Amino acid sequence: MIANIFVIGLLNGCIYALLAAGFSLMFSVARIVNLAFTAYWMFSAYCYYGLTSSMGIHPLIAAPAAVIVVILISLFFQFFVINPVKGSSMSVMILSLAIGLILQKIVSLQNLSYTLVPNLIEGKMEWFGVTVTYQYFLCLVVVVVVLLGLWFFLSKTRYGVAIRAISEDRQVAGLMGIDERFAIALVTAVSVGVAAIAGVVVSPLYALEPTMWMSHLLVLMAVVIFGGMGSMKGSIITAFIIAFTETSVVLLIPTGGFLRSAVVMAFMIAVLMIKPTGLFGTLTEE
Amino acid sequence: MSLLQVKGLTKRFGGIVAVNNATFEIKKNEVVGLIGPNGAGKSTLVQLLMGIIKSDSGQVIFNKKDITRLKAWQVVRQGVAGTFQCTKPFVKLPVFANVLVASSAWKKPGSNGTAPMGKAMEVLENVGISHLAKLPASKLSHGDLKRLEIARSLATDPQLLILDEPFGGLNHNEIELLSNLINNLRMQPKSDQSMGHGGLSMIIIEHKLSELMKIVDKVIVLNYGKILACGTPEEVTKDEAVINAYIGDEGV
Amino acid sequence: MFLQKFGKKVSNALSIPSQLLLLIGLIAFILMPVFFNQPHVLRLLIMMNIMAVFASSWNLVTGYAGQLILGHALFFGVSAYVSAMLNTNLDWSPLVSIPAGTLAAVLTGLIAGYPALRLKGIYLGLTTLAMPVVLSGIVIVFSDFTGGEMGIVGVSLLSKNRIVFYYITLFILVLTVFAIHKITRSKTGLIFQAIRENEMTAQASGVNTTYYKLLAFCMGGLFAGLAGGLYAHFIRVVGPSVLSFGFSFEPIIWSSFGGVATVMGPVIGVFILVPAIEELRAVLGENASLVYYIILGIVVIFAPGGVIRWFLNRVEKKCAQCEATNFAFRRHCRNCKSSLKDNGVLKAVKQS
Repeated sequence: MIANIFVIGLLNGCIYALLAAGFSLMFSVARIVNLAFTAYWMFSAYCYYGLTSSMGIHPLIAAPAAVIVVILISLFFQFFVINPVKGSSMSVMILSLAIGLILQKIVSLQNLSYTLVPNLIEGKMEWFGVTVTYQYFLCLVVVVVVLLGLWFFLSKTRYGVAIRAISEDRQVAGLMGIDERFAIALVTAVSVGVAAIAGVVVSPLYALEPTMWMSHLLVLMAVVIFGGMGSMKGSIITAFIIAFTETSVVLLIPTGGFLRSAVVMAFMIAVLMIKPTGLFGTLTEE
Repeated sequence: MSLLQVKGLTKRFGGIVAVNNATFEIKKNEVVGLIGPNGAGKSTLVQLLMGIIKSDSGQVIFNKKDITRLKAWQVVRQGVAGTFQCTKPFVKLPVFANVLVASSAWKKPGSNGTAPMGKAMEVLENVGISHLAKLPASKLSHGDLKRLEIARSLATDPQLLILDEPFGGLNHNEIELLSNLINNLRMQPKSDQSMGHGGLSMIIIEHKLSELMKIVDKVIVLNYGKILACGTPEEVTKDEAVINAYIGDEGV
Repeated sequence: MFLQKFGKKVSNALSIPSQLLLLIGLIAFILMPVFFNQPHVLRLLIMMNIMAVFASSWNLVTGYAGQLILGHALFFGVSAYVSAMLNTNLDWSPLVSIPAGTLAAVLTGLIAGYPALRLKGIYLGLTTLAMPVVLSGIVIVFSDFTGGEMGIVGVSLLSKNRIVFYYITLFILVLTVFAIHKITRSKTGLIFQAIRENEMTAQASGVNTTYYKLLAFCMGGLFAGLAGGLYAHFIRVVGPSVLSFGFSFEPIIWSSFGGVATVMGPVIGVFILVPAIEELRAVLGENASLVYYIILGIVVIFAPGGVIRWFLNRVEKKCAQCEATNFAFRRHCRNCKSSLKDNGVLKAVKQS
């Protein structure tokens, strides 16, 4: 049982960590709460499925193709839907929710619900008494590589540093000659790209359904708030805390499947009441 | 007789002592200037007085009442009102409504029948922006916003008015208008004499010392959170320690 | 003499487009059952009334008092569950169970408002978003009382006659709108808006923000609870779906569509969007929600203040001299007779 919790919790933790890192980056730079974020993740999983299973494209080509398609879609929505209403957080929230629901509807109109996607690499092994597929390990490796890549991008490259400058102080960043439109496009592409990669690697491991972005959105919110908005390190750590809590609830309590969100949310409220900026929060509301 | 007594007020932010053991007194009807180099803790000190931030130790006594632990809105109701360094009006609301919030927030014990509406209009006329009453606060110029801040504070019927850099960012003309206003406020006995207090006491934080020295009775000099000197403008300008603190900063 | 004064008042009120339209709308909805008495139309109309009350309650707390609530289903669900449980388990009449459910929602306002004393903006929003999720977990755990996943069935109808039911809900809607209109124009409404604009300044003005924030949550709970209780005694089944994301987000969508921080905005939003999605479903079937969200998106982008402001900007004109509101087609102000076409503001803009 404990091995089970560990194996499943680790996978979910990785996915939450990737999503949270992307979401947190988008929030800290663009200052928008994009509710469609996990919908991009869901959409990318389905894109990958469509390209491999329905169109028979090789997984190694389909994977980057799916990521690029999703990034292009997100850029389209960012520039034609979100940017015009950037000033009003309420409009951003409603429109991003609408985008998520539109993506969900597009997928569910294809009648693909409860799809199983073939693995990128075949084979499985025994690990702590639990049968684990190689795809699972591939997923863990990709998550670590992507997170390291993101860290490298943000701390070592010119554009990454520029993005961080904006998240810290927009006015100063403006003075330094950083074009905000470009920065928002870049940050959208990077953060949605991270979510899309998460979607591609997870698609063979999850039973896909078009509504899965909703439950993940809720968890993602908890992770990001828990870890403190805008703190990437905090979100990654809390992603694992929440994933293990959630998996334990599901596996140890008889009706746990129904309770998992409730427990996570109760936990989140408790943390926020004690520490209003989250466990590792750096940003405060303006 | 003293209106405000501050005893050993201290506030730390992390390792920095922003206000260190501040002790002073303000008498009724006295106008006090609070000066000091940038980062000396002036704003922190007045925010402590206003109850916006909580002190680590020390005591603030106002009208013989301990107000150290009161919340900001309770302090206001005791009669200490202040303006913010950067004006924070209710931008979407009209100027009149901005002031009406303050005049109608609670029932003033001494209000001799002046309804909140009348009080709000009276205050706007006092500071000279009654003609802008219907405009949303977002449309106001910087100088008018400063006046609005003062009007909002006055609408709470204060006995002690704290002005945090009232002249900041204003041009010559506006400064003159505003210092006339401040002078008028101190001359004018408060409208309600029923409570038995006379004119308005004030604490003014200001960098433009030449303007400040003209309107204050007493100056408190703060440096690194400590009170360096306290006295009349003449005394303070001759004080060695003060001159040393200011060398390289600004001429007195 | 009295009649003359009254007549003058009425004619004055009717010279303002928004008030004239409001009156026409009210009369239309009072007469509605005379023309459309098919059960499905009445069902839709009743739902519109209930949801308009629900959306208005969200608008009061978030639109006016600025306390971001993303989980408004909490109040709705608490009241729906409490009144359904009292009705089915204790056989309380709907006339008692609805007020009891509403009272429970008001008390929930005190609990839900507590985080608002410490949290702001998106942090508060997400905390409130989490609350109905936690409550639905509690509902599952205590499934002996709450019916768990299946919900509570067999709740009695408030009125067996749909036309009567319609008039009850319409009356409650009118009452709610009137109450919110009065609140927003009172001292309380002014202070709510002050807190929304800047909490620190409100405190510095002597406003007891703790009290007013909790008051806002309780008022929101009151109207949302009323809607939840009516809903339970209309649909007759209360399950965890009343605590779902959908129920939390719909009042936000309706209000933003109609106009946040306007009294009629949420009502207009509900009265357009609820029948719209119904109609789209009838015509387009599966694709309905796709079209619905696209239309919603377009409206939110191009009428950011809501359709009500967008519309009134086109039919109303304010006189530059006396600030009286006029029909946009008028050439001269009805009050001071000065020209509306070429008012001073416009001239100044043109010259500069």
